[in-house]
Amino acid sequence: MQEKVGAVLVIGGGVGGIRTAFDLAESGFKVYLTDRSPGIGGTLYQLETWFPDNQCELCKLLPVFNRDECSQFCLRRDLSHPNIELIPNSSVTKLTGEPGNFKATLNIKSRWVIEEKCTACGLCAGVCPVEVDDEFNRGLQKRKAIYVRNPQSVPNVYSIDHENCTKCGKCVTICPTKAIALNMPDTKRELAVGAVIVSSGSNEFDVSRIGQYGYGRYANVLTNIQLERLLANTGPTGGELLRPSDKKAPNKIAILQCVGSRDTERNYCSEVCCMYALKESIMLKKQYPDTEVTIFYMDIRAFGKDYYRYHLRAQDSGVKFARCRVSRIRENPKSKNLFLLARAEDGKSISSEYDMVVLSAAQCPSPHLSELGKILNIHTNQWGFVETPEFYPTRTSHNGIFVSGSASGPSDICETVLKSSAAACEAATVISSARHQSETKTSEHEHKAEQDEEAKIAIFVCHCGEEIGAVVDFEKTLASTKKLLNVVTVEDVGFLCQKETLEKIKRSVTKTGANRVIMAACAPYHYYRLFNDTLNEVGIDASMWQLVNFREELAWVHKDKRDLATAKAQNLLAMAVDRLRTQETLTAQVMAVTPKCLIVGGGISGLTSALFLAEQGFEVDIVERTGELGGHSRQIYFDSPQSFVKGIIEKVNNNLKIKINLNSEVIGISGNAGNYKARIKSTDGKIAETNHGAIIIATGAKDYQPTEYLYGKDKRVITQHELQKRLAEWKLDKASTVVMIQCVGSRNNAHPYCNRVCCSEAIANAIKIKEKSPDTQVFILNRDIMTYGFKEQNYTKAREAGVLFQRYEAGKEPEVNTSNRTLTVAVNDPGLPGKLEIETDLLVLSTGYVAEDNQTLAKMLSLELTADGFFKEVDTKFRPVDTIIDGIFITGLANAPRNLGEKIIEAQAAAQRTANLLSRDKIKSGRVISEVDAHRCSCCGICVEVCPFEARYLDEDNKVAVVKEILCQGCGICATACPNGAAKLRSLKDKQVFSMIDAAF
Amino acid sequence: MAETKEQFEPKIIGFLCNWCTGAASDLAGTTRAQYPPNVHPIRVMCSGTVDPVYMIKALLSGADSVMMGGCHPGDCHYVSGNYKARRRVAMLKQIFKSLGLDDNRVWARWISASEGPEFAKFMNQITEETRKQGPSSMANDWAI
Repeated sequence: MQEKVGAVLVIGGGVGGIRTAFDLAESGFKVYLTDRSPGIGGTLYQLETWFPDNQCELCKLLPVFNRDECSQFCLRRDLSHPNIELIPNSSVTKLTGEPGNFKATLNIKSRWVIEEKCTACGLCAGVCPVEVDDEFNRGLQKRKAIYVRNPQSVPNVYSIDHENCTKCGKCVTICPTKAIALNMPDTKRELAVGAVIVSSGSNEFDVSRIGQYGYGRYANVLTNIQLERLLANTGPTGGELLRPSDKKAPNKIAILQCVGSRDTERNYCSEVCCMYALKESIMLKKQYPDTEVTIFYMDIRAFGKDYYRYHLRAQDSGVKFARCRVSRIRENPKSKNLFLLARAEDGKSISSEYDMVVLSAAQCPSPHLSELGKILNIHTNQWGFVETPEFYPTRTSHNGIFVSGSASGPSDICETVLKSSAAACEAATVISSARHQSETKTSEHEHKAEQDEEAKIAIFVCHCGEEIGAVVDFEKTLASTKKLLNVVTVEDVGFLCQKETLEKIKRSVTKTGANRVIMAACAPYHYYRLFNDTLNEVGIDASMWQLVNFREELAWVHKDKRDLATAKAQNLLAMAVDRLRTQETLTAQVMAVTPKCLIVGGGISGLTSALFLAEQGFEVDIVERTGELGGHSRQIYFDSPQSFVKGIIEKVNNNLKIKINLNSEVIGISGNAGNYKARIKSTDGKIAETNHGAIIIATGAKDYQPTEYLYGKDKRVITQHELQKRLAEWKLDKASTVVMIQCVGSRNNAHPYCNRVCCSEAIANAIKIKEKSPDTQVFILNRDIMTYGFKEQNYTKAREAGVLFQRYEAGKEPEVNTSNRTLTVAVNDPGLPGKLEIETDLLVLSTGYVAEDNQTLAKMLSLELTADGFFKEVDTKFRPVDTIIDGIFITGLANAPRNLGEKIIEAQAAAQRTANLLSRDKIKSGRVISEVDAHRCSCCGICVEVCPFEARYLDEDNKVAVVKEILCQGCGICATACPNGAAKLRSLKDKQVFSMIDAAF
Repeated sequence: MAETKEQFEPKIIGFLCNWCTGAASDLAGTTRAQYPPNVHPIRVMCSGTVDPVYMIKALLSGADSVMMGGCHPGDCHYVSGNYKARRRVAMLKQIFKSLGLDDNRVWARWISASEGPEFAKFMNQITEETRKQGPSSMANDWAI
């Protein structure tokens, strides 16, 4: 057999692709991150805020360990990691080979701009005469034929749109670095990779296909992405909501759900639209409290962790909800206002006028997916999404090719992130034997600056053509800077980013013997890595050089103020000199890692994580409280899931790397990421002590024990689980009517969350009943049917089979009575004056999960719990299985309710996040971390309390606070909180800040 | 409009966090939003690093105003740094008031990475407001 290749091709650079790329890169694989468009970011970069805080927080995707390997900036500006190579503008044209050993051919579309030379100054776009619709802003604005995808594009390089360029050559003439080469040919590139991950994302449904909504004809009918762009600060209106027809703020806005989904042609639920409609309406209400916002919907599918609370928040903020599907929209040709025609739930027709209508367009497969599917030889389903098996939702029909994000079906950010980590896990499992083989080795250079050596500072300033030179008086700036203490040279060397200049800089540093460097150029995102690599070669360490932003923070924003701008430039350089003068060499702390994982809980989630970690070569200890593996999944009585669960248990039992401790509990844990010590107690009283690098919490949840609706008092009232058990054995012969009640013990005050599985479970059971006994009447009394994604088909199937769905509202729950031995359920019907009364033989309660008593474990691990008692993740969207304590992960029902397929994804994601940490023998802390001046420390504990990462503790014996360097993220919150000045942040010590302030005056 | 030649040019020190307000300042540049050059930025990793002492020091060294910019509440790269910063600035302003010092010279703003225009707007605002207040005497008033 051929040796495997430790590299992965990731197709698509949206949030999914980025997450996968980071996960694989962190765990020792090379990643080629490709995208069809000239910049990465996908749909995500078009949005600025999202659930749950309506903020960005995208930076939380960045690696936590060895973080200095990766750029530490906003991800919208920069993405660089030694193991990730970005290949924008590219598409796969051929794939041959086998899992572990593929050859992929890429076609890289030429930008007609030489990437290394472009400084993104934008002069070219200024002279370009061609204007076309800007697809990033969905046509709400124009762009030039030479453009960047968005103002913060990654990579920040211009490119020419071949179709629209007239080749007039104006840009070629004006470009100061001669970066434009019209007719530069496309290139082909062949990559050797071990696995391929498709995360090509989805497109929004072309809403103009629904003619009765008038999109394209009526100016004020917009899509949700257009609304997002109108609300975006980087959008065409700078974040001001102005309707297209008259640029006035709308007073009445309607948001229409399910446009292009849940219809006969596309019988799936697009999953994400309810949540983004809620978000948009909350944002609208916040920015424009007097604007009326109405959401027209069929079901509000807020099924994820804390989504229901968000739904309530929208209600509280005054958003109106109307349960109906709008049949058509008419425009008033004069006012351009829109009339919505619909029939409400009570049968009355509605016709109301709105200033603006927003269509929540469904996620549809990307148009390139069918072609890509043919090239990669993977199957797509009836709608064109990549087909995946039921229990491994990131696998495709082709071994070694995996899929993540919305390429395999509608997915929100959180789901995409989970799938992406899971796909990374699958890929890493295929090529785990080649880990660290294709990694980019970062070379370690010798560093000059010694602690007590006198500072010799070299300063290099960039004109950026005329971009900086036109605003800053260089002669003056250079003259004053030369006089500063410790400055050995100030040089004006042209474009700092160009190769020749960097050579000059290296020569100059060597010649002058400088041990510290200041580069006065553009924003740090553009050339940080290039400068750092160059300076490293001549012995200047990352902590010993600094960038001063003369372009974005100075020249570009102070155009007509030459004198003041020059003074500011002089001050900024003086401040940087003063900071660097007292800068100490920073070295990262290195810590060995125990390549072994502890998994608490032997349910399907824990077992899956264990299996994938073991298959990637790590040892695993499972601690299970009961005497049996499998947890909740043992309650699934139907054939296919049951045999799947059995298969997993068998594989775990047979895997030599996995040690199973049944009837055991964890009673104590100490240490931190990379090195934990756990005490495991078994029921026979024995206590074992083991070492682990990471911990996965998979302790599951409890079934809700209903007290409602006569459960426990009348034998005819049972739960869905009990029904399923009976159905598997078919013990239902006598029932002629079955009534199911949804949301029992969930979505109420005591448990304000949706359990997400009960609707699908109820529908599956109802279909089973109808298959076996078509004459049995089945009623499902529900609030919103949560058949998200492709589960919608089952909802349709159930209705076709004759299952009757009846809504009830919160606060008007059904009433159950037994009199004369009959069991009667009474429920309100919006279309009827009285109540609907159903006599039933069997009443089935759809109950969900409630959290286990997690307090003890949470306290032991210093973890937080949610208001509902589940473990709290560090970030809902971008780090859904990570906890605030690095090295501890959560998965399965301990995190939130999920179904079997979703549990597998989450468990794989947790396994991959764990593997990221365990795959290195040593982990490095950041260079910039906090430290303790032991002489000043009074051991008061304030720093321990304020640290968000539990990176400090008190050494009671020596009466001093201690930093756990590996956990410290370098925020410096402790340094500010310390009353004695004992806590300090490296590279931003008080004396440095003070001297910087002094230098400004 | 005739420009007055002796217009007072305030000097302002601004502490900008690396993740949000600092990134917004760069975006303002990319979009060529114009604002006066009176604010001298000092980049910090988190607004939670900004010790009130730094702000006092800036005023004592001759700054006419001092500002701190961080991520919006709820959106801190370090989970809760900006909440702490917010509380510290609130306290600092309170202390200033009780000492009879001008607390209007202490500013805090939450500007996210995509709010380039917002950043430029704030730069204009703080410069104009400080200009109206006139030179700060805080640097000279301490004859100890």
